[in-house]
Amino acid sequence: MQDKTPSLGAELALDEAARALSKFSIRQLQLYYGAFRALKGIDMDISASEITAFIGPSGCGKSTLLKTLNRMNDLVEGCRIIGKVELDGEDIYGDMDINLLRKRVGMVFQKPNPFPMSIYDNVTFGPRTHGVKAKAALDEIAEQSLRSAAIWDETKDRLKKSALGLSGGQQQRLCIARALAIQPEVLLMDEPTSALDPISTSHIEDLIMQLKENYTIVIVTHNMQQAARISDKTAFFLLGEVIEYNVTDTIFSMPKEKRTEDYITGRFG
Amino acid sequence: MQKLTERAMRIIFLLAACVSIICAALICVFLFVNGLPAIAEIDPLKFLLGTHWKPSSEAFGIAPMIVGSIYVTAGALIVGTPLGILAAVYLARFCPKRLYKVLNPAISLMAGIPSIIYGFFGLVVLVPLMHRLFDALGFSGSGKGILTASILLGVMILPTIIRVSESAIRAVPQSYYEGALALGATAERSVFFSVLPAAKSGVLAGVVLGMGRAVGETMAVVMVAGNQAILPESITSGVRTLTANIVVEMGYASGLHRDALIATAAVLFVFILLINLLLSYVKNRGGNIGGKTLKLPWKKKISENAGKRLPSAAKAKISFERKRDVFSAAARAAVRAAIGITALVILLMVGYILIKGVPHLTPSLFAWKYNSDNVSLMPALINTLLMTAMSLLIAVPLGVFTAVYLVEYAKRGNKLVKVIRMAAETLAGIPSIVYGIFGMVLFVVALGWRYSLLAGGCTLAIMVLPVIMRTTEEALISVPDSYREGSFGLGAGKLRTVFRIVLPAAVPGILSGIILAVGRVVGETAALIFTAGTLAKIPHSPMDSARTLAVHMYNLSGEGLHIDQTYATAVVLIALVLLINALSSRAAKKLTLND
Repeated sequence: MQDKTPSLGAELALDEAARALSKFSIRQLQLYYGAFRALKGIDMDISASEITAFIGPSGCGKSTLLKTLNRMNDLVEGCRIIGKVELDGEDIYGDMDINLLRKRVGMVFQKPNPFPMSIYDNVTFGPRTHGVKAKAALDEIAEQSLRSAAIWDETKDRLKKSALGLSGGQQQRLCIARALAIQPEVLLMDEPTSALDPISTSHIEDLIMQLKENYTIVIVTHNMQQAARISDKTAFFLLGEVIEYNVTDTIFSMPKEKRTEDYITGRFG
Repeated sequence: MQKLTERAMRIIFLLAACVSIICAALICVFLFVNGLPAIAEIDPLKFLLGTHWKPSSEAFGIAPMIVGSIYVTAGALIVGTPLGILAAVYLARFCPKRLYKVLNPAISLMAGIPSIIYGFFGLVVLVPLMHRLFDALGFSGSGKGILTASILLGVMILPTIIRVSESAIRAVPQSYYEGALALGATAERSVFFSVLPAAKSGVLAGVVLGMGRAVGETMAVVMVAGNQAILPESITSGVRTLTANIVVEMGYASGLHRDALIATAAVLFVFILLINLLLSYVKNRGGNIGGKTLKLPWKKKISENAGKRLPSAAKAKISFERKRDVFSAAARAAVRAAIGITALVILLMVGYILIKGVPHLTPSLFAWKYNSDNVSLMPALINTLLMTAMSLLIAVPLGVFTAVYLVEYAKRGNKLVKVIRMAAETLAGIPSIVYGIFGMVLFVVALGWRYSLLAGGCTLAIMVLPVIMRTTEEALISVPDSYREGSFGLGAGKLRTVFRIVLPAAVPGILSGIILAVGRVVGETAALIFTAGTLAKIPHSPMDSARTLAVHMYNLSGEGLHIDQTYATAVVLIALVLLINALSSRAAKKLTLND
């Protein structure tokens, strides 16, 4: 990326244009865990209403970057961030309320993590947190979210039962429903299918493709076929840097970088 | 607004944590501020080494009590350690599942029975028995003395040693056992030479904990030790321990005498601190065993002879004949005997009390009012509930909030966290009689609350605080981080996450801590005599004196006029303990279901 050196003015103009179109714009982002530099200066724009996939070997920084987008890294002790992340042009590490940020940028985790309470209480936890109190409104949100997450039919008769009784795949769809219930603009997914069997995985993948129309989705995945199947754009990470970021088809058919090609053809990683 | 609440609650959690330390600090300060000047006035050497304790003539030498405590504690360990460890081995490795279902609650019952009942049983059964035994063997003595106290204390510390050792033995990887079996060792040899050595540090910790309990025990010892403040001549002669010295005389002491008793408590406190130090040493050393301290002196030899057959001389020494294995048979007999004796003791004690007490559970015993003709236990029963409620009202919010601060708010490596943990560990080891005189001096005298429900409740609250704090802390730690992440990921704030997600998930653990605390409050005597007093009436206000059931039993057995009713009171106390244990095992079951 650094080898092309257009004039400064042109670069700025490009930058402005990219920023206007993108949901997230990440500029010169560096992240330290204590003394360890986990992200080494990331520049990236993530477009709205698209699926962006992050791929790369373990420890390359893809999950770390994902977690900076809703500031979940704040929970890690000794984590320090330099640079800028903007959501619709607003610096999320600036003045923004962290809880409102997380309401706008929802997250689905690697392992399904339903709370030890009923399915209904799981889905309505978010709306309640953000001040919805009316029973009717909560009921409606619950049904809509469960429908959007394609799990309504399986759960409508057992809403008051514990969420821990669901299968792994169902739990993950419940977690997606739970994230949808706060009507986020962006959905971050951290290897959402890595703990699931193939059938559950294909359910979730179908769901993600449908959600794309209304949400900006960023997904971290270990599974390159998954990235190729569902994403519009793909970023390849290595050792804390973005090696290549482009339209998914291009990345998988004619990668510009040798290292990207090596990785997607399975020569390392 | 929301940010303000977050900040305010953070400060409240921090304050709760600070109160916990202040309590620990207060006790230390109080003991030494009151005790040290007294020691200085008496002369430290005369106080510690003096063999004459005659408060009426201003002679305050506590050497007999120090010696007494050491003798009795040593005696208890001699009785309790082998029995406890062998019984633990049986429970952990040899016990059939169905039998375990009976023995396990029996051990819990043994641990839960208040010391006043042990003392009473010792007084009415063990003392006459020993008296007759001494007579038959030609010793003098009333039956009260070192030997009797040692046996009783040895039995009392059994559950502590058994519980801690058992879990240490269970924590040893099964591969150790299988490894020994695969070399042709018998089951007994495998357990004793492979599993038990690996559990050494845990077993030792159990013994040290038992030692702490023996040193701090008050009510049971007072009833069977004789309490003569002189150096004992033989193991059949009467003896007074440090704890007994305080409880026997605190009621009427004043001036230098009172301060000398507080100084006695300070000495007792130093003993407990030493035991705590020993405990942390034992625990830390255990951590090293698998790692760097293990030396392999034969390492070089192995490589020299690697792959070679054993020299024929060595071969000749290994016998392949089938022999009768005396050790295995003896070991099996020993563990069976140990668990048998333990079970027999608990059966005898509970059975004896039930047989003597149940027929006297008359309706009049539950009359609304107590008087000297009809020693109704109803007021004491109600007072017990009130006392429990009052101490929990103070201790539960404090303990839970402190734990929330430690687990959810404090940063790792925070110094305050270390200080609070240390304070909690120290508080947990302090004998209840020390809480008793602390409460007396602070709440009853200094704050002018007199003997009251409030003073007793506050004293007990400080006493059970570490229990609630530690169990809550453990419960919070075991709540998976994924719950917290999930909640934060939905935009919930810290406070909402703590109260809606983390605490509800930790409820079974917290509950089991509260139940433990209830057990201690119900069984407590020594800390209440000098703080809540012994008035057998239902109090009109928190400022009134209130005798609880355990104190009621102590009074009855001291008066000796209503022995039948004392048995009946003991039955009610045992029933309470059984109820509490049942609740606690239900909480534990819920806990494992949640995982």
